[in-house]
Amino acid sequence: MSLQAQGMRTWLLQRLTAIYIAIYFLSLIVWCIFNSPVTYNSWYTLISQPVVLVLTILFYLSVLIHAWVGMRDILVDYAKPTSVRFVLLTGLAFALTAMATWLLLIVIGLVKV
Amino acid sequence: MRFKIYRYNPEKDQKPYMQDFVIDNVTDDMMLRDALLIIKAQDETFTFRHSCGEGVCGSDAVNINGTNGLACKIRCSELKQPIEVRPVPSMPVIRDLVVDMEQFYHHYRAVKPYLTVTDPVPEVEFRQTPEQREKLDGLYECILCGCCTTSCPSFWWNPDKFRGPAALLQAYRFLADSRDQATAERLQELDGPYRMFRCHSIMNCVNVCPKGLNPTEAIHSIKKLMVKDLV
Repeated sequence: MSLQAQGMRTWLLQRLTAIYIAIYFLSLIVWCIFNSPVTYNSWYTLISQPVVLVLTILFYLSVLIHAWVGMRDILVDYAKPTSVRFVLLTGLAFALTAMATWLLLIVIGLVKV
Repeated sequence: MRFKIYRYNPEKDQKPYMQDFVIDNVTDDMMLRDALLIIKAQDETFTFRHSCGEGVCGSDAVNINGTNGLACKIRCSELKQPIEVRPVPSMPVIRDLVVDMEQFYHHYRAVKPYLTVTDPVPEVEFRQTPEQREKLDGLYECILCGCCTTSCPSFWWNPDKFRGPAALLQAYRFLADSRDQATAERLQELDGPYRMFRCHSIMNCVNVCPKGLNPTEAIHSIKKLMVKDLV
């Protein structure tokens, strides 16, 4: 997605990621209710299952995309001078990419073990 | 009854100021427009736009105690005193309550608010079923007073790029029209991050519309058409 992303596509992406985030989160809460008390081991077993892991990665990617669209919307509204907006958007992209990379490292660590 | 009226004459005043007025013998059914006319009789340098006085022409949109509305449709007796009257927000003030509506009309013109037909025009008339005609209810009644657009924060932040609720309502009025054949062009024109997608469903437009229209719903309908177009 470029800085100049189109209106329709980003809007749709924001809605779709929102739905996925909601479904994932609710499922997790339901799981917690049925498996309480949640221990480190039960949590680890859940997250290590390949299907759950993939769904979790998708969840975090959704959060990152959702955050990108939402924050971009705020900056487009409020950060008027082009230079300020450019710096803030670049900073945001940098921060989100850093988070994505960190997430990747954690997931790789999980798969190894 | 006490009034606080926004006054500004760019030829004389350094900056705008609020002037107090008091008028007596205000009847229960007196509209704000009538009061403004009495104030104008007291001080003839005061000016504001008005015409039909029946909520049809949309000339006298002003900001009353912080909320946009038509002066001819609001009773003085229902307002908290002192009644503070200002020009509609975010528009350049020409004088007192008179604002420059050019930006508003620019966006209105940009959505091409007229039927576009590429097929040969029928010899007698366009036919519409009652159901097709019903789709235009709640869309065609707009009187272009500008209450909605000037109360929209998205319009305040990006008045040069965001079309605003009034223009978008009109855009949907023609998208919803069974006779119009420019759907693809209209949707194309509204895509992009600014023209329509600055709308965050704040719904100030719905709150203030003196005709009880719902621009937010129209904007959502346009988005639905775009999604249909995409998939």
